[in-house]
Amino acid sequence: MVQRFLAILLILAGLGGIGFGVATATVLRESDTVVATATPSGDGTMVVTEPGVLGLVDDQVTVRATVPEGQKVTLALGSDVDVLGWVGDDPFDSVTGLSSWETLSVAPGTAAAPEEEAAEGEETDEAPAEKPSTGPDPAGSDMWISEVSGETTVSMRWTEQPGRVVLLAAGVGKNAEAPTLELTWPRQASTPYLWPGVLGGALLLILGVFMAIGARRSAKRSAGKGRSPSAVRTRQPDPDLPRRDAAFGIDGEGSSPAGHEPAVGFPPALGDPAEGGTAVYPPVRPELPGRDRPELRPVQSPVQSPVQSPMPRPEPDLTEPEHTRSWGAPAPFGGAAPITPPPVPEQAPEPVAAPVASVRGIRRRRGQAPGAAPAAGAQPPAQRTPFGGTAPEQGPAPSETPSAAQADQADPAASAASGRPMTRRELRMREQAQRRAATGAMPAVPAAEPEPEPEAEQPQTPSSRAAAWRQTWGVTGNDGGN
Amino acid sequence: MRRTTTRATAVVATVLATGLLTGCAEELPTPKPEAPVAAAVVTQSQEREILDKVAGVVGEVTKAKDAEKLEPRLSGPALDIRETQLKVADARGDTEPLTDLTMEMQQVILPSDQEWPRSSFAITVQPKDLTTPVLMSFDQATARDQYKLWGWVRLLPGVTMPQFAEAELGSPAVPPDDESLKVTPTDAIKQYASALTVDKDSKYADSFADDDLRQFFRDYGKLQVDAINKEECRGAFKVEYEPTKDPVKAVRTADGGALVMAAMISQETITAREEGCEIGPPTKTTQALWGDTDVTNVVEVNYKDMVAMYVPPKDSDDEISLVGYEHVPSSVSNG
Repeated sequence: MVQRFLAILLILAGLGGIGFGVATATVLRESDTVVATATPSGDGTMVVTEPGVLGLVDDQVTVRATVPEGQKVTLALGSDVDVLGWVGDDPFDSVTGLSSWETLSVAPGTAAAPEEEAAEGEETDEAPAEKPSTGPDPAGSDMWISEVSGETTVSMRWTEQPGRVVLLAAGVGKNAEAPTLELTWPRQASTPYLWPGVLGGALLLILGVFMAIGARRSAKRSAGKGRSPSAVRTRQPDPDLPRRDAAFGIDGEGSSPAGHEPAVGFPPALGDPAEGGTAVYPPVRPELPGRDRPELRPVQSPVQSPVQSPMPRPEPDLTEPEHTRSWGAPAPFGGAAPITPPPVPEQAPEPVAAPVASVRGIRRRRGQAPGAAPAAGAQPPAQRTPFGGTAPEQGPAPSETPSAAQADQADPAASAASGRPMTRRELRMREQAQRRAATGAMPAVPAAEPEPEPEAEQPQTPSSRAAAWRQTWGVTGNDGGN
Repeated sequence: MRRTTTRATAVVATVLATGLLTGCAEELPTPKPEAPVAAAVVTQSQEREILDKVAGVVGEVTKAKDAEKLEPRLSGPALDIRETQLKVADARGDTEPLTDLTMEMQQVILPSDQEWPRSSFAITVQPKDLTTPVLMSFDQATARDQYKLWGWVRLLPGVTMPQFAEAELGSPAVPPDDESLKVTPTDAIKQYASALTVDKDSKYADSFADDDLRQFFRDYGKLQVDAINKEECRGAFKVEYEPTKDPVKAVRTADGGALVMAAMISQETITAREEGCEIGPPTKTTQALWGDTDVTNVVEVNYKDMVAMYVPPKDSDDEISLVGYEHVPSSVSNG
């Protein structure tokens, strides 16, 4: 249940992540422009930008000035000296920069240095310099680099050039007001969430899908059964021993074919506790060896049914033990490891990926156990040993460690596939998982063996590591499912 | 189970954290203005536009003969002289009196001062009529004024212009009372007026290199006097120069001297001192201006003048030298 819940959660989170990532690059994408507005303070009829403001965000700027309907407005570009000289002693607003991405900071302008000369001229030219009832029109001056005049709203484009070019915007005519300035710059709209969102989401999604598949498998087995694996676990404080035995039994199977015996002998033991959790075990164990000895099944099922008859649902028990074993086993395995010879080398990889290793351990053991195909079966241990040694010893080559881990994952899968007859579906799943784990490097690497070089690049990407992890999960699920 | 959940949570947290952090990283930019650099306050392209505008006005007025339209782009002595030329040209019925003001420039001398008034100078290429190039001066009185043609002179044939700073850098203006020169620009004009008026008798004569203008008056005066004396009328010739009240414009040259430009007025008086002799206007232009005026023994011709001279720096051994002048008859009278 928890697994399914987590799977759904992951899928939802994954979809959400992808959706969010895509949305930030499309719907929620920041606009390609920065539009900032300057609202004049009300003094004077002119607004002047400070040097550097026009090129604040980008060299390309579009300026738009708006005055009340029907009034005339002029935009002019010139050097700061020229513009301030032109403005002279008249009050004006100075645009000093951005106060936010949407707002330009405006401050009362300070008169230019050469104001005295300018003032002299103004006094002769325009008597009402102090309180301009009429907004002077800068249009047509020789000093402007560029200018535009119009009614109500005018705009102009400017590509920033070397020099101290500033903008003069002036409301013109009687009762003129300082125009409202709007500067628009193009901007490289970055989409910082796109790839993290999509990749992270995809990761979660795939993770969730695998978990869901795993959950479904187990759910099929345990269809109708109300108990959750965790419930089983918690109920097993007492039958802990038998359970561990069961685990050992598996190990025993793995290490030696003789291990089947205790397994077969278990049913009575299970029967004793009469608890659902323990009763679960028999069906599974028989199942694995069941391939070898199909005759066990009929024997067990009768045993089971009496045990389970008190329970409302007989079937779930079949799967449940698997569950407990496949998921629950790792914990006991940690403790069991020292007892059984094979786990010892396996503990070495654990530091590489602790949670994975324990899960993997089961598989490997199982893969070994059947030994149906000696050649295939021989391989995994051979590799494992080097791997076990590789992880701690080959410190200098860190890139190899994950690669080895990957190869390792592929191996148990392969060995399991070859070692034990598997359903087609299972095979397919494994292949898929393997392929996914290896991703692009797959064609380059024909066999899983030559780990070090070609695969060295892959493990570095988190996705491949995650894929490996995923694979492990998926495979385990499959294992348990069968 | 627990481990995987933790891991998944960690992955999600990492992804979200990375995304959020990268998203919030952008900071508000602050203006980074370039430092002010020493450069001409008028760029060459701006100057070109100014020249085109002024030349356009001049050209239109020349065609339409509507002198009032000169005002937007001509000021000071230039306006005065051009109006005179137009009047004279109108009286003569041709365009000969009009100085060619085609503004195709071989050199521009741009202002570097940020204050107003600003002045720029420019030297035209050789005009098509094979007269000498013209040195023009433009003036922007205040920031809200336009650049206007303020004055011009025709350069003397074969004159060597002083060196100026690069047009991009601009040349600073020299105040009329600048002390770093051999004489201040204002004084230079006054003294030159004296030298023109009394020639070698001027106490300033030694400060000035002899030049074409003074030589012209010598030759011209001699010509007139000789002509009158032929009739035994005892001719006399006199020329008087006087600076106008217009300001003197001066711009620094590369060697620390200055190019000084100023307007003057002058009057030449030709007299037949012998009783009963009558003389008329001497030149085609003065004849046109003369009209129906009665002929007496005196001819007074008033001129509007413009002179440009090079004033060397104080410690220089060079003399002040004329580089160009304009001498436009404006009116004639019988004394």
